[in-house]
Amino acid sequence: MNSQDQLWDVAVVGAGIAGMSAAIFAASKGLSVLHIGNGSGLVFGSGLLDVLAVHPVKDSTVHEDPWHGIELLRKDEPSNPLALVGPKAMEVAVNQIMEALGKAGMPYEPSTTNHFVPTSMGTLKGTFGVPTTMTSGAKAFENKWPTLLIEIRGLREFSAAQMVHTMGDKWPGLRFEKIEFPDSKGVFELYATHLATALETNKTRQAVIDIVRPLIGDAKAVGFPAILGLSESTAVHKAFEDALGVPVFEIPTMPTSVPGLRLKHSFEVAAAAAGVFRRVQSVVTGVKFDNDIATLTLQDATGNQEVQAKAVILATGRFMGRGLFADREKVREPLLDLFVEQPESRENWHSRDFFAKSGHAINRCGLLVDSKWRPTDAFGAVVWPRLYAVGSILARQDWMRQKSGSGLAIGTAWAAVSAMSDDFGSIGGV
Amino acid sequence: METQVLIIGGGATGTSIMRDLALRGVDCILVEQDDLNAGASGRNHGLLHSGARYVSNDHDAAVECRIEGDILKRLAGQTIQATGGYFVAVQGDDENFIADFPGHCDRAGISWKKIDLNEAFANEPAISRKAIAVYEVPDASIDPFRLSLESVAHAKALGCRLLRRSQVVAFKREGNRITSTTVRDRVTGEEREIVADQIINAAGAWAKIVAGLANIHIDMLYSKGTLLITHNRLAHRAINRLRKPSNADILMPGGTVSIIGTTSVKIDNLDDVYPSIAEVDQIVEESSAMVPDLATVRYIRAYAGVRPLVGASGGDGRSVSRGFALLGHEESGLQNFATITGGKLTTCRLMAEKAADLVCERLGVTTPCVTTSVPLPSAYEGRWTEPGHAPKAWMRSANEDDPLICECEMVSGAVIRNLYNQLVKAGDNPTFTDIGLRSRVGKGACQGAFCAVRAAAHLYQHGAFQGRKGLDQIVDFFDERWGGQHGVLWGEQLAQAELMEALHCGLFGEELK
Amino acid sequence: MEDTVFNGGFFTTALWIALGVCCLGLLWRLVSWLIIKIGPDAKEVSFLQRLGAAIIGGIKAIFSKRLPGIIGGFVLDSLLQRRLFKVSKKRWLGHMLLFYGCLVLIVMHALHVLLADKLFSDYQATLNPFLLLRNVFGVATLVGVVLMTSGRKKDWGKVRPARLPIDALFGILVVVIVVTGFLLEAQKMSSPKAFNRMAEEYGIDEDEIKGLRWVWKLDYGVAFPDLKGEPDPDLLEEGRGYNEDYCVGCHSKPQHAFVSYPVAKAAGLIATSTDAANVDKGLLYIHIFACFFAIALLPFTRVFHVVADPISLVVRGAASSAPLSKAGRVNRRALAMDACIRCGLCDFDCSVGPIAKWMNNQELLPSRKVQATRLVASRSEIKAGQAERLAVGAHLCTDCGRCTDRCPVGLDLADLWDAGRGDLSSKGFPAPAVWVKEEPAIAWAEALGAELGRVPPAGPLTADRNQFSACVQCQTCTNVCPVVANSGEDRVDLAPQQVMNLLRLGMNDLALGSKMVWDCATCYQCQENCPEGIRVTDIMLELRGAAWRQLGPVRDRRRSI
Repeated sequence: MNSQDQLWDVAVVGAGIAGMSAAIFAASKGLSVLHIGNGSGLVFGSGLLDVLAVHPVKDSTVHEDPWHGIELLRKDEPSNPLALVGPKAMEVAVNQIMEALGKAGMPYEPSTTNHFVPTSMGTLKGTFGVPTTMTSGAKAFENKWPTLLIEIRGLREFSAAQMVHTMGDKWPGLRFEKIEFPDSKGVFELYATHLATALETNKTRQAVIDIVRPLIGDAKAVGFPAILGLSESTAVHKAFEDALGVPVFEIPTMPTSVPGLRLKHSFEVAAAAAGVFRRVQSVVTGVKFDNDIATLTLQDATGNQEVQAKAVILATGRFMGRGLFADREKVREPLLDLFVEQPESRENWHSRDFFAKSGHAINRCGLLVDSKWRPTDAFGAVVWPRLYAVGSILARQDWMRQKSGSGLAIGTAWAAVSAMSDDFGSIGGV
Repeated sequence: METQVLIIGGGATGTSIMRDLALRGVDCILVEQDDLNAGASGRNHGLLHSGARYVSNDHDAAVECRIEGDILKRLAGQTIQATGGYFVAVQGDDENFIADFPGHCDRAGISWKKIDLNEAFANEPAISRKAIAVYEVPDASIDPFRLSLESVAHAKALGCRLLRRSQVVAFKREGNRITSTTVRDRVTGEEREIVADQIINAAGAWAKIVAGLANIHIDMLYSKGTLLITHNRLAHRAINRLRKPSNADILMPGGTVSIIGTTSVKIDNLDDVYPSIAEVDQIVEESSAMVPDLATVRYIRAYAGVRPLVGASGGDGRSVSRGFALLGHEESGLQNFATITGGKLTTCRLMAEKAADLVCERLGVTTPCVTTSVPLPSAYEGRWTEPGHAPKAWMRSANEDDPLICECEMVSGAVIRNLYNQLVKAGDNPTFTDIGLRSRVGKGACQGAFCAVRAAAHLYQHGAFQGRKGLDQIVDFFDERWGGQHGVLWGEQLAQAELMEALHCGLFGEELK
Repeated sequence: MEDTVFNGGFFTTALWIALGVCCLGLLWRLVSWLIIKIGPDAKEVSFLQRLGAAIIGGIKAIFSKRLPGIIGGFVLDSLLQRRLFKVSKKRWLGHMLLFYGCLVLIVMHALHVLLADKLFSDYQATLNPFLLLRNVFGVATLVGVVLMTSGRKKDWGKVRPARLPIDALFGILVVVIVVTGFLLEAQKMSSPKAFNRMAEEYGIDEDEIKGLRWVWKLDYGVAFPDLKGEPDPDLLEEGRGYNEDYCVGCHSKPQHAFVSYPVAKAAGLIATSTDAANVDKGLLYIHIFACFFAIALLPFTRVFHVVADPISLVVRGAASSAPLSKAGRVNRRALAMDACIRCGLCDFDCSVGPIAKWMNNQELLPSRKVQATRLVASRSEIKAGQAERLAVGAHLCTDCGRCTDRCPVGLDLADLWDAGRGDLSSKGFPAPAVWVKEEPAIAWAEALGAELGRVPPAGPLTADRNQFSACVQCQTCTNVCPVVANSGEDRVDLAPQQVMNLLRLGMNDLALGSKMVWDCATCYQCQENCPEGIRVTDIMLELRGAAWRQLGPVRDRRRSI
């Protein structure tokens, strides 16, 4: 199949969680989907899927029930995209993606509420979707199990000692041991991905198990930095639990993290399973709209090509993902020059305090959409009848402070694809 | 505590005085309310003036810079890179000014050379093609942190003491003398008394406030100057605009980066000195006439320093030139209090000499100043502020216990541990910010987002950190670093800041403490 | 007429000399396939072993089950030039026109006594279709030459294959032969002298010839200076009768010689004077001697590939079913020297091709490396500077194998490069990776003694600050790097992100001597996974080039001390 030879039902631009989810949702509705973007941004993921943990941001109120949080958000910030998606649709959407990722090799613990997962920084992360390799961490903390954390010499981003020191007052039975990873003598710096791959071999895994087993003592759980296998994490995790005889869990670490790479890989598998056609190494450099057809210019190493689609979903992210770009004057949407709601001047973009309670105003800038998730101009007029925008590029949310990144991405993708397929139904496109 | 001389202010002047006195055998204590070079001494271009900058409007200052620059190059060479400097005029600049420049330089004894434009473009490709005249002068870059750190190290080796985070809160006066000075530890809040024969107020912009505690009025204005740091080094030499000194007309190489500035904004108080968005924009826009790339490069930091401008009424005839002011305060009836302020980084040694001469005269010490002949010894703690030194040192001696912690500036674990332990040994309770001041940690593109995490983990792994210190330190460090990023958050650096927030708020929830 | 030429002993002698040189040349080059030693293992096999391998290989190929495949490949790749067709239709057309134009002219014209006369019972050079076809193929040959030589630069882009003077000379000879051929034909058509000679041979009498002269003036373009005005219709009618009787059987209307006839018309005005000056003789001498010269030259030019290439293709076919013996491999390398047509297709896809220009070292290009490999193998002493360039060319190769895939004449280039590297190493020019790794990176940097900020960039990618300004220090490149993952105790000194970071800092001097640069497997994982689109692998290759360029002199300085 050659992507420029056919008229696609929908072209999804951007391969973060939002773009991936939109592509999967659209394909599972029977639409033909061309997906453009390399998904490298997914490696920044932690593997955890947040829905909503904090609201209101300025009070740092943490919620255990994300659906209740969204209900509150509907009252306080009715135009927040999460509020527009609503708790019901959000639940359906997030569960579908968790199921799809599970089938693609990255299973999530079935969930109805937020869980509090201990992080490598010694903080507790309130999150909804927890990979099965990490769930025992939340349980161990909740039940204050005596727990052993494993520190690995040379893994620079992770100190079990730090976690014990930082969380020790709330978690008395927590202790740590430092180990030397097999065959790492003389290697100054270890990289999580390499350890994860090494643990997929029986020999290395057994060697680590043999080192850790005598250290367990009274511990009822053992925590590792997130290195338990790359593409075979379920099997590696199970092998550790079987051999050590106690629950084993992974602790989310700094990017580039192993769960981030797993997430990328699993989304790719899930998208392929749903029938999405992906153009991985291409970048969309331009979009033109006719009455019914959008023509996208794709650029890759071999040059430019044009592809055509009946609908376009924009999921290009914010500044990191290049979905938004700011020069000294203002924030722009570089692909289509869409209207970006934003603070009046750069003076107001950021607070002078990095951890300012209310967050930074620039993080709430972005695209405005109508009720069908179509970007509008400043006056509410739709740009093109079948151009949709999803994910963090949307205005009036602060996913980093609300701890709602994945929910925002998945929920808006779900809602936009639903609106779009209704539209396809009415024009008889499918 | 007792000492012969109490020095207030740990900038370039205060630390130079400390060393000068130590070399004369005078016991002294230096108290600094924050950390070394926390004021203007750490917030400047790092330019060791050849003097050419001042030839047209301040002949004396130009000569002074030339003489002092030569002394520092000779005796503190490790803190200096002889980059050379260009003075560049572009289309539209005052032609008379350009024509007079060589003559002025000759009168000040500053060597100059007219550079053919094509040669200048070849040597410094970043210069605007609209340049119409280029002169080369012996400007150099100087690392003010290393200078102060090594001055202090030298003085400490000779028996003098440094108290960081110690703020002077009161003076006890009896008759014509200050008998005791109350100093408060800004971390613990503890207060202590220091009894000194002589007190030198070298608090820079804060000198007015310090003098105020002794009921002495100094007529002082504050001028804020903002500078920006680029992600890359754009030029080999100091690039000066050949025109009447104005905004944004010096581009200095700072090792691996370049520094462009400054502005001049009158401010009323010292509480909230930060680079405003308007100043940042002004620098970007004005400087690009001289170096066009400055309009488009990635900036990683903006910072502002305050120049204390001592009014004419404050002078008592001792000032060597308009460059700085040494006030004996005899008119106030005090016999053991002096203030030295103003001046330039380049002339800090001379300022120290004059201030030390004054207190020595008052103390009856006759040992002459030797800072024109004794070299400044290199010290371990001064070495790490030099850009590019850390990667070389690490590559020379990398070992299992010495992984790289700060990837951007390539500072290794051993350096961080040693600096930390050195401060602990000195009785301090060191912070990340302290380590940042003494090394390049957090000064690169990530501005701490990744390296602070690794540094905390490393210090825990080696048992240096206890309790919640790591998390608290990271939060403080980001606040400090953020102050410098705030002004330049657009383009790539905005994306980098977003990543930092995504990690530390989005993932780790550090703001929810 | 030919008889008159060849009856003279001079021409015959010249022909024999030419043929002799040609045959000796052929023999020499064929034998060279069994003599040239390329690769360290070449010294381990004797001439007899190689002869044996060649004979056995030949027999095996003939009796192999794969013979149909080999023949099929020969037809497609050799006769029909399938691979060239895929790359450039224009060059394919040029090649086909030149090759088949020449072939037909040789068979039907040059060797007509031996071949055409025997193949076609009614062969007459002046009769259609032979008259027409000779012009057609003459033109085809010329068009072929033009297509093959014109727009070379444009066709081949930045990589231009080397061309030897002797090949240019051969090309000129072909043009000269064809052009003089046309001129000879034209001259003969317009020449009254030639007409008179033919009339004399056929014993046509004075009366008959009057009418015939008019017919040949009007219908055949002979430029009789004395025939002016209109002919007497009766005389003409009579002449046509004689023409039917005597001439038509052997002479088609000359208009079919669509090149020579217009030339003849144009030349008609001066035909008498050219006749008088014996221009025909001069042209004939040039024509014939150019042919002789070309024959003698043939084994020494690229044209020899018409012999070597089919054999090479057969060898490839044979090698793909069963690995060659050592002697066979050595023979194949020697054969490659003659089979390579310097077409430059290999340069198109070369992984390191793009940096050849930046490094100003054409020896990186595969088409150049074929000859360089031979040079290194054959001479005992190579000038140091040149050897360095050759060594870099040989050692920067990533062994991606694309050149071998592309080669239209079936060379095993990968094996050739391998052998060449061996020869270079044994001559004291080991891979830069070998001598660079003798010192740690920091030692190289210190030896370079470059001041911070004054290190020249390694290449255009390194010089481009936008490459690095996007880097967010996420270390994805290192996390996906199989070399770092599997280095174990033989750890890399700098991880990929550290190499990139040194470049970002403008401290490339510290990266130049890094083991990582030379251990890089060029798998492109880092480049493909970088979230910021930094061309990590390409930059590594750039560093290899720069390492040689900048560290080589340092090493030489040290050696001389």
